[in-house]
Amino acid sequence: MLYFYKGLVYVVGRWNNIVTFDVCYSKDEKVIPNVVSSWGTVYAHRAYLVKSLEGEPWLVKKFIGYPNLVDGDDDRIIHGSGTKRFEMYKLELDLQSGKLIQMLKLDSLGDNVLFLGDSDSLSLSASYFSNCLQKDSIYYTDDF
Amino acid sequence: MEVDWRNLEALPLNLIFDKLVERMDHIYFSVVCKNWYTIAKVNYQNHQIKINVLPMLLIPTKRKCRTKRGLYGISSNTIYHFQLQVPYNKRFCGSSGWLAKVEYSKATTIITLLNPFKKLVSIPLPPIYMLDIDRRRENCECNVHKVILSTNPTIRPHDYVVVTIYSMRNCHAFIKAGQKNWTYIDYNYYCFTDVIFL
Repeated sequence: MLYFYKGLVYVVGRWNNIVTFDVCYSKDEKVIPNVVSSWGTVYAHRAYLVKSLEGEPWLVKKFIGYPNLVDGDDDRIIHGSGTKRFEMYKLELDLQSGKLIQMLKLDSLGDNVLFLGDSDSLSLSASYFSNCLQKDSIYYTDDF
Repeated sequence: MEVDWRNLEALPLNLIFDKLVERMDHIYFSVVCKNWYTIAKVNYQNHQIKINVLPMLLIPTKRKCRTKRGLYGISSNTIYHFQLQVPYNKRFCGSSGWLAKVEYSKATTIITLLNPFKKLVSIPLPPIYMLDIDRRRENCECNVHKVILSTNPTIRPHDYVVVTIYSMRNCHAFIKAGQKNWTYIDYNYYCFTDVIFL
């Protein structure tokens, strides 16, 4: 059977772990993916992959806050205190080998406005939607 | 001079269509008449539409109806009167204009692809095998974290691929259109939260 879709799938995790696999060449029931980036030491509550307006793959990490418990504090109930911040990286990938060339940290979203949640991650143009979207912003599901 | 709105030329109709940034407005546009519908259809077959339209938010209805959900539009900051037959008490993820309904019963997890705008179309996927599911929990459906499609099954009914992030370990698996079994990615790779097709 011939499939139109030819390409790689990238999957990203909470520990900066990224793997890739090719859906075209799998015949077995179980697939071992190729490691693009191995487990790091910094935990992000969520990591998202989104194609920027220029078509570049971006990795966005969402960090949540935890309360600072001081010794002797009566209030011991621990609640996360919501989304604290995001970090954005541009992934430079060699699509032939699937390998990561480098990961560049971004200071600004440029014209990108991001939508992140349980569905497809999406980037839209801030200038095109200047009437309804806020520039340099991330719209996200506050799932914590 | 009387304007024959129904038989407007493609050029002005496309200009009008381009100005609409909300999907709901595309629907209103396409029910005007056959000519307007054709313009909307052609625009939807064009890939450009993806970046020129705002995503809408599926929200509970005012009365928290169990069988329906409402739609919120960002540009107009309004809740549309239009309601979709999307159960409020079921787990859903979305991708490529489709919804993935997740159901858990009799120790089996089933994902069904639905298009909320096409009532009669649904694509049931084979059961997905979960090694680590905690059956005591009521919300086992939430063990399917993401369901991402490579492309819209309406446009390429035989060519799409579905990738899911599932189980408490956050592993991933995929299935191609028409396949009878999921292909599971090695269980030793886990803790994933998102997927992209490049």
